[in-house]
Amino acid sequence: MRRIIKLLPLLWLLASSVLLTSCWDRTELNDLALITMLAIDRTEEGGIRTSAQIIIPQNQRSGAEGGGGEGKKTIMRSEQGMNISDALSRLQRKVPRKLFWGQCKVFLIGEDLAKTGLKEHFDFLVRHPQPRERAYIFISKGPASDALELIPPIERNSSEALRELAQLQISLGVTLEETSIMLKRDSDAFALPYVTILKPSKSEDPLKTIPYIKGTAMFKNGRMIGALSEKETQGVMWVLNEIEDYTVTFNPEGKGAVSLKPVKADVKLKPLIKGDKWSLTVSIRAEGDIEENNTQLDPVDPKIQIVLEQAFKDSVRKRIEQCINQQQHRWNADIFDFAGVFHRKYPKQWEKHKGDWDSLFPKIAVSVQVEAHILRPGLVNVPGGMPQEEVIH
Amino acid sequence: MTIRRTSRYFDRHVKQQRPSHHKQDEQSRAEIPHDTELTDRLDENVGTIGNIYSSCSDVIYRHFVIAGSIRAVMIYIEGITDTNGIEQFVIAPLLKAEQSEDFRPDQLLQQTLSVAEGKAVSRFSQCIDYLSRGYAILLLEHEASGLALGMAKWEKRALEEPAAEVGIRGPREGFTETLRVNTSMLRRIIKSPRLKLETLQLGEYTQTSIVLAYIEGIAEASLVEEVRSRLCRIEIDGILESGYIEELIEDSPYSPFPQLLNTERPDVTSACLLEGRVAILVEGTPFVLVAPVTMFTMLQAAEDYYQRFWISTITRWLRYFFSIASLTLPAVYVAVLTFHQEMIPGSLLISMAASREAVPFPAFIEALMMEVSFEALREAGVRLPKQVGAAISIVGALVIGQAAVQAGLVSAPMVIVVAITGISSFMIPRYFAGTALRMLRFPLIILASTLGLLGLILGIIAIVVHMCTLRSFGVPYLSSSSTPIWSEFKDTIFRAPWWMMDTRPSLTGTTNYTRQSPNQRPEQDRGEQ
Repeated sequence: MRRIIKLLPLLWLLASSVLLTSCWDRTELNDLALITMLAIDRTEEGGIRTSAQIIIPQNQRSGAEGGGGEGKKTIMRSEQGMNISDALSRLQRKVPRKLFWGQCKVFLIGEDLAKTGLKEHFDFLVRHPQPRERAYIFISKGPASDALELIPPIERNSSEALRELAQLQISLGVTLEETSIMLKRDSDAFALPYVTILKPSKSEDPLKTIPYIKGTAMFKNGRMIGALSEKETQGVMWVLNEIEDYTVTFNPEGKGAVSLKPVKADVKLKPLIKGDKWSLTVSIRAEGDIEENNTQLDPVDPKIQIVLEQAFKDSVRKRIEQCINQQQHRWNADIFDFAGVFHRKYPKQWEKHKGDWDSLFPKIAVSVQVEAHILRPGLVNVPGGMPQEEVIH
Repeated sequence: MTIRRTSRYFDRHVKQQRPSHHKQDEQSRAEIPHDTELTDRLDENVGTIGNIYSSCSDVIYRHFVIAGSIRAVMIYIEGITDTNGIEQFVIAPLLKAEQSEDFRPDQLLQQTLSVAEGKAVSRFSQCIDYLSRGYAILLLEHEASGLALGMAKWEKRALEEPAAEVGIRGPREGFTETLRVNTSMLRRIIKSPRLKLETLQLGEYTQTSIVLAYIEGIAEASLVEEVRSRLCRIEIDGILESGYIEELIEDSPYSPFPQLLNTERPDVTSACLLEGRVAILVEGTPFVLVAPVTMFTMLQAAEDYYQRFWISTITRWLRYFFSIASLTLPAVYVAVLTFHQEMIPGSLLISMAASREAVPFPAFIEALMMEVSFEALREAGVRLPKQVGAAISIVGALVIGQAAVQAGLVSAPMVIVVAITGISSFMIPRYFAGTALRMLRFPLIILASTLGLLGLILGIIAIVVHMCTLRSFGVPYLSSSSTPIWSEFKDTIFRAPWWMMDTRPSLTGTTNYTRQSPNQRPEQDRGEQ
């Protein structure tokens, strides 16, 4: 008993340290405004306009239980300010609940803002503790806030739709963390996915659609310099070694198309400096399974297989050469970070030349070596739906 | 403090301390003001006993005359003595006896009385002692000693399946309230004479018999001596259940964790004895205490050893997981929901937000409310008469599970969390170890609601530190996990097949470490070798 009495002051101290602390971080879920997507645009006056897509919890229940008609699942609120945090603090005045960034997995940046410069605004996203490092970042064609008001027919909200698309790895998906790394690397250029709003089918409500990843936005010195088309993006993804579940279609001997899926590729960049001459070998090991064969060729035949593989190889090489060529000569933007590759292999030469990388990059001699294999012909060997006699052996 | 007061009480009443439990006579003497020898005057003897048992309507005095000349008195307590037996085997032969026979007590036992157990008594204290245990006392005229005849018989409960420890496979009989039935069950399982059953009486008024059971040569002698000495220290007015003893002999009396195992199953007790542990059986309760134990003992079910070892191992992991869940789940839920919303997957958080929208209380109040009402339901369910039990459980389930959610008082996820916690606490095979975890969950919820996951971790650290300091008769409570003992894992993390369990637990069975001969794994060609 006396021991307990002795312990009482200690217990009292413990209890008060737990119960009297004034700075409780406790926030009830009911007091949070869950932001799913944040759009950042540039206003005409040069300020920042932030728009947040906020979940409406009352309208989240599935149809069977809810009743009482279909409410919107998200709401968009926007506000302007001198910079992002200023705009957000003003935005908070318009939202009765505390803005919560922890679940914001998509940041959408307007093209206008991207063209004037992304670097200075990026500070907020990495400095503030709440935004997730693994949130995806996209550049939007036109005002970014437009995408926030869409009502996606399949996903819960447009943020979810964008995030799922980025995760499919068919198009580029870049997270906040990767962006912050890219902003600091040797080459001053990088690529971010470029989003536009899908045109809804004729019978649909114009808002019932999703934003989708159309191409790639190229950045140099932290400013957007242009956008690549869907096809060009695929070339970029080959070089960036991000090709995952991907279809390649080519014309062997000009006699109809053959499609391979899934194509897997392993890309290696081998830099070489000989005297003054800087060169780079892109060696690619690609393999894939036949998914569709519209030609009369029998892919099981070893001879034909060589022909097919050669066509596959040429197709891949052409894509990559075109893509790199374009970056070197049209945009002069090293979005593949060749600079880093040279830096790692030749640190001393790099130190000497890093100032004039801009003039050096277009002059690099790039050779593409492709090793391509077709692994599986699929469930049928001869071309399906074609009489045996017509098949070329 | 309680102990101290009791001892003062004893000092006043008993003048001298009992030196050893073996001397039961001395203990009985304490009850009788004038412990004297029997005299050879029958009336005086009966009068003295009558004075001691004044106002005791259940004490029966049967006067009769043997062979027409010798007066005799049969004294017994009705209800705990076999009246039919007394009539048939004691009174009847005595009434029919010829005058020529020898009527000295020891001769009577040898020649006339067909009773299995009979002892000569010469002191009043002995008489009282035997009477209270159901013996019949036969006093004869002109004899300064009487006979205590073992005619004890009282109503016993039939052997039933243990209520608190049910299993699908394994013996179904459980201990009963009768001590001798319980020891007989142990003896039936362990037939070796090395199974020792030491008896002692505890309790000033109840004189409860307590049996200390151990296997000589397996249990460490020092352990047995320690248990014995702790038992002998007990001075209490009455022992009604083994819980009294448990609280009086455990190492850390303030700890919420039970440091002795209590079990209703003879098979569990025997298994523990074979592992070198000591069992304490108490008259009047089916719950037997086993010491020493570790935390893992609390999480082992009897059935683990009867079913296939794969299943037992997986069940154990399930049990470990859920016993941690029963301690922490509501606290984790509260912490994550009020401090770390970013840790919940997005779509799940949106669903939670939707279901919490109508709830007026903070998550902490909600959790506390639900946990308390669950505990209330559980407690009510235990106390309720069987006839109303079903009605209450339906009302409880409906009110808490459905109506509260529909009324918007609690959110559906909270109901799920509380339900999982409730179920998981009952997965612990030892009901009372589960109670400890269930109790500790409340401080954890408070910590989690004030300091978030940080507070929860602080609380868990405190609990683990406390468990590390716990000892059960010298054996560390977390032994074999706090400092890994690899050989112990065969029966803690896993349940190794029997042909691999060659040794006893290293903390209790070192005196006789080898349990069985090695290399007993069944193989096909073994027969041919």
